[in-house]
Amino acid sequence: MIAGVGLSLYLPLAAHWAADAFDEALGARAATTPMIVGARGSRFDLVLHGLYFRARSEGTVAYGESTALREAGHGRVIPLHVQFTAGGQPVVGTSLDYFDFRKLQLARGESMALLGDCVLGANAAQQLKLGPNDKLKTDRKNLFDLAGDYPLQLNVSGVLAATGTADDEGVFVDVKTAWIIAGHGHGHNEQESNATNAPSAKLVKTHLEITPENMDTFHFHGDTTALPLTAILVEPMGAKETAMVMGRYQNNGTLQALKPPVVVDEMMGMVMRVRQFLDANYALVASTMGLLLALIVALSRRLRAQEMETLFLLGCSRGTQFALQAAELLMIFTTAGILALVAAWATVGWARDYLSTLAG
Amino acid sequence: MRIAIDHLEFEYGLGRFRLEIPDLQIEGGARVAFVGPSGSGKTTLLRLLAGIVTPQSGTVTVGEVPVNELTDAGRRAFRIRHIGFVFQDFRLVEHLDVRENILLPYRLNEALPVYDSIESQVKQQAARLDLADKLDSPVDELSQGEQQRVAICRALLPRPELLLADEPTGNLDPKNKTRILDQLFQQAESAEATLVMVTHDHALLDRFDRVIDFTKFHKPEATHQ
Amino acid sequence: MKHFIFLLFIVLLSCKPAVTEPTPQAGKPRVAVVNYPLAFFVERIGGDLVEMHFPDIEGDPAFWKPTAAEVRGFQSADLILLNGASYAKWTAWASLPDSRTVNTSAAFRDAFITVNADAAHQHGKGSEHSHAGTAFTTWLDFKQAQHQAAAVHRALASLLPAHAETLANNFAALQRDLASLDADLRGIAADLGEIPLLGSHPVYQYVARGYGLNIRSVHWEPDAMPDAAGWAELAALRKTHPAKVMLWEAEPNKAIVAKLKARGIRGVVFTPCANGTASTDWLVMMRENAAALRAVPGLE
Repeated sequence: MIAGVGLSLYLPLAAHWAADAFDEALGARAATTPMIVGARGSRFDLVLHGLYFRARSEGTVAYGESTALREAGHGRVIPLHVQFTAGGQPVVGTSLDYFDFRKLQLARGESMALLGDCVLGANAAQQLKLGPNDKLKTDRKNLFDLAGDYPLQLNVSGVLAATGTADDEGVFVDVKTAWIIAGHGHGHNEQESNATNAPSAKLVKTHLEITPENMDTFHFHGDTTALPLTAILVEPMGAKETAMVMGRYQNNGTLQALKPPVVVDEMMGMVMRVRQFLDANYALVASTMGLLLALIVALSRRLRAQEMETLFLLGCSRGTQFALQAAELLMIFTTAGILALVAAWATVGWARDYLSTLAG
Repeated sequence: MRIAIDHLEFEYGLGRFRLEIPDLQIEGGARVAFVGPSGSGKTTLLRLLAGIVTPQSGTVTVGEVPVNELTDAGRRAFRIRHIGFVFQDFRLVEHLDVRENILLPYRLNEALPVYDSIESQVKQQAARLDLADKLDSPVDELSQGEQQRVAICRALLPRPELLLADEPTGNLDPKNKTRILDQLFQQAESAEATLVMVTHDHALLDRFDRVIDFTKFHKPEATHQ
Repeated sequence: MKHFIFLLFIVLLSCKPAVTEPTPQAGKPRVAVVNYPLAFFVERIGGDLVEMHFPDIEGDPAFWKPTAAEVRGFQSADLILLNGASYAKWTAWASLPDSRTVNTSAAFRDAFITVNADAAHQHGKGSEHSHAGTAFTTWLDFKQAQHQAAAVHRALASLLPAHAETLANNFAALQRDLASLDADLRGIAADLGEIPLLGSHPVYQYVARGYGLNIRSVHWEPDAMPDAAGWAELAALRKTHPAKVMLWEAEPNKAIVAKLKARGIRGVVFTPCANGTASTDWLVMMRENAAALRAVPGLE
């Protein structure tokens, strides 16, 4: 009975609290991301990509766009390039401004400085068991493309303090490093420069490595303004600048500017509608549970009638008997309630953790 | 404790069962057996004597107290203090051990008087019925005879003046039957209590001071008015 | 016991964490620059209001290869001033905070000169490098230098709004000096007309374009005797560009001077002054450059 009552209480409680936790966490994350610019397509996808580094396949925005936005002086502009993973964690190509924007602090080590450096989110570091001065290879996009791009070996320069957000999952690199991973640039290392055409002299390469010796040979193909970003985060200086940025993309056929708080509100509105449906479902479950409970109590009373009669005969008043049974029910509900509260609280904790793992 | 019943009329079930006792006197300390066919009202009279139910008319006096004239609370208080019950099916609480079953009346009623310490009383009573080494045992590990002895202990612990036993040997084998009856009689005598027992076993009747046949009291085809 | 606790308290108060990056002087914003011309502009405009960070670099800062620690020295600055035109090659593989970084030549990026592919070469002990891509000595066209100074002024004014008037006055004074340099060089260039000039190193593109100077360059170093191929290249170049004066970034060694003299070529120093020390005065150096050019007709 405790389990049944507990479950009846837990389900709507956990659903409500989890939904509230999602709403709060999503809302908080969105509130700190005033604007996002990206390729036209699904608004939800773009916002989730910008907030949680969810993969997005709907086109890119040129780096020159972020430069133009920055030079227009509307506010802080932060490039994002999220396309790859390293150890299963999302590789977030961005600029140093991202850390200030998200108020991320280093727990260990130092910020990224050179091509190939990366800073790990707290969970990423824990998952990968890596720390400052360790190495990390990006994941191969296509295991069977042996002639394609090689994984890039990154150098862990620092680990961020935990934030309880998607940032904990990230492997943060400079956007230029992300472009190298994507194959938009390359360097000339000893292996390549010494390679000959003789098959026996060909060196088997397993990954790219940026070293102090070859770093200055790395360059990009073509104009960097044309290189791709997956999104641009914008922190306008004020309402006027916000309007100007929105206006800039209003009639743009290939790019869109979104306000994540608005989009997330819309998303959560849909979730809340689903929740209302679930609430009706839970009401049904609760009613069923209530009827079952009434049946169990009635059967229990019948089964225990002789026991109650004995107690009555031994001097227990009917009032005391009623109080005893009421106390039993109260204990069941109280225990079930406490268990439901604890389980719901744990579920909300899990929900918050799960939200941060939407990254990737 | 003396019992006096005067012009008692009791019915329930819209007249389907009717008990009429014009006059019945039982002396204090007597050993009385109630006999008769099933449904003749033997157990009903026990319940009337205990104040569990009240007659539609007439008087049920136990000791000097007209039990039927008491309030519900009064009858319960009287029952707690003065009457002990022993049932055919023992009516022990299975999830309690022997000690707690014996102490149950005291758990339910703080008004019960305490002679010496409770623990001492329990041990004494248990020793009288050869249960001294079973006090910590779960009741469902006891034999039928032992269980009935626990029930007798429970009934006798408050030192009641009236002991009501409803076929206490009905579920026992012959050997235990005799033994239980001996102990019941012995304890009743020791407690100077009046013993009223419902029984179907005519072989036991010569042990009683008096046998009351309920055939004459029961009116099975009472008309509904 | 009390005495010990008091001492312990004092000791604990005086413990400080290790400082891994330079900290600015009390209250002054820290401005990091990638070359000496920008350092000069900051000094002229900002003066004592800012703390300058221009690392001690050997050779041309354009080809500096900073360590991670040195990059972090730039990262921690309140303002980072880049020359632009792909000057500081290291910025292509270093991480700098965009919001605190200003490209001082962004206003005239459409006017950058693209340099064709050339052979990689080496400057003394420096690493091998190439000038192919974008010409980066933008400040040698003093009109462009004025744009760069204006960008420095805007950045400093944004950093120190309380000192707007001081900065504006300092900037105006600098602009007057740059305008004077520009006018001076225009006059000199007018006198030079189409006289062909040689550049010892491909760093004179903007001064050539800006002032109509007829300069074609080789890839020589002041302290390194060119090899036979180098002399042959010069000879081939002079067939269509019979220059008698070669501009040098620094005083060439005597052996080179002698060989050039034997070929009828005189050298004058026209330094880009991309690097400098506390005792350098960029304006003085540019005036000396102008004086050197002014002397060219007399050398013909």
